[in-house]
Amino acid sequence: MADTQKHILIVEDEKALAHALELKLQHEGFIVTLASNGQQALDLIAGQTFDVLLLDLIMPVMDGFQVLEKLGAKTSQIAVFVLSNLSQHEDEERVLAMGARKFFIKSDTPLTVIVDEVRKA
Amino acid sequence: MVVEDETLLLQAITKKLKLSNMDVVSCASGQQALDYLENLDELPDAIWLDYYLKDMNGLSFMQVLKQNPAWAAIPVLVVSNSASPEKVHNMLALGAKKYILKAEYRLDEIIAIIDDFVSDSATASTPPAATATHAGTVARTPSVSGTDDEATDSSNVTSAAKPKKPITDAADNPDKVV
Repeated sequence: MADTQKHILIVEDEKALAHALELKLQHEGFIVTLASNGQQALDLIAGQTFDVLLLDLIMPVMDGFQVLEKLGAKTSQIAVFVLSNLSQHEDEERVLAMGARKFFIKSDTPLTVIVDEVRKA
Repeated sequence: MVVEDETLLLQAITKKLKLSNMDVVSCASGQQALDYLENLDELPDAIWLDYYLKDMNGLSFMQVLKQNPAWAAIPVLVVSNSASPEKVHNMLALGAKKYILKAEYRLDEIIAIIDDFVSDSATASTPPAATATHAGTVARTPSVSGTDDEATDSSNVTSAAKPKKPITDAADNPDKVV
């Protein structure tokens, strides 16, 4: 199935959460790569193709906003789902304007919902 | 694991803990924390729990935590803006390890308490019997009526004049077996 071949990049500095997401997505048959900050994510994206980017906003070295800014037009080739504890409406509007496909407030979004959204992407 | 619904405070706590070389899972709601606990590959060594969350209070969170044998032994530090004797008693009876007032502690001091919890977890892996003891405290949960009544909480009003110390911890509570 095409779905199982999707390559997902998780950009999340909280290792335990990144690992939990990684396991759930791998269990669904996705190929998963982890990056712990924005710069690491951009380096990975420069060298390989990803279908979905799960992007945290607050991270060391380079945050999620900067990643979206650097990705620019590339966001049309990668489905970027922003996951954040920031729940301000302005943050949502800002990331969607920068090319993110969806914005999920972590506290309102069970991990199973994220997996479902990745499957649908 | 930090459970705090004020996102700016959550960020500040998380940043400080990471600077103290701790891996952190930050949660802005009780439900998010429970979802993560169900899915984490490795359970946290300690939980920082804000009493008043937007989706549940600390008591409800502790009740769910203690009903799951795998989670019951995780030490919980309850951090609150208020601490009526009944509220403190109820939380400690449910198995919280310590209950402190935000107003009486600097962030550094709370981080040090969490650090101690984490160190204790690292040096003493929890035997099955201890887990059973924690779970057993659920059966002795006292009535929770009036727990959320901040208006009756005089300790919060006078906290600035008090010497800095925990409101109480599990060892002070005769109902709690540690």
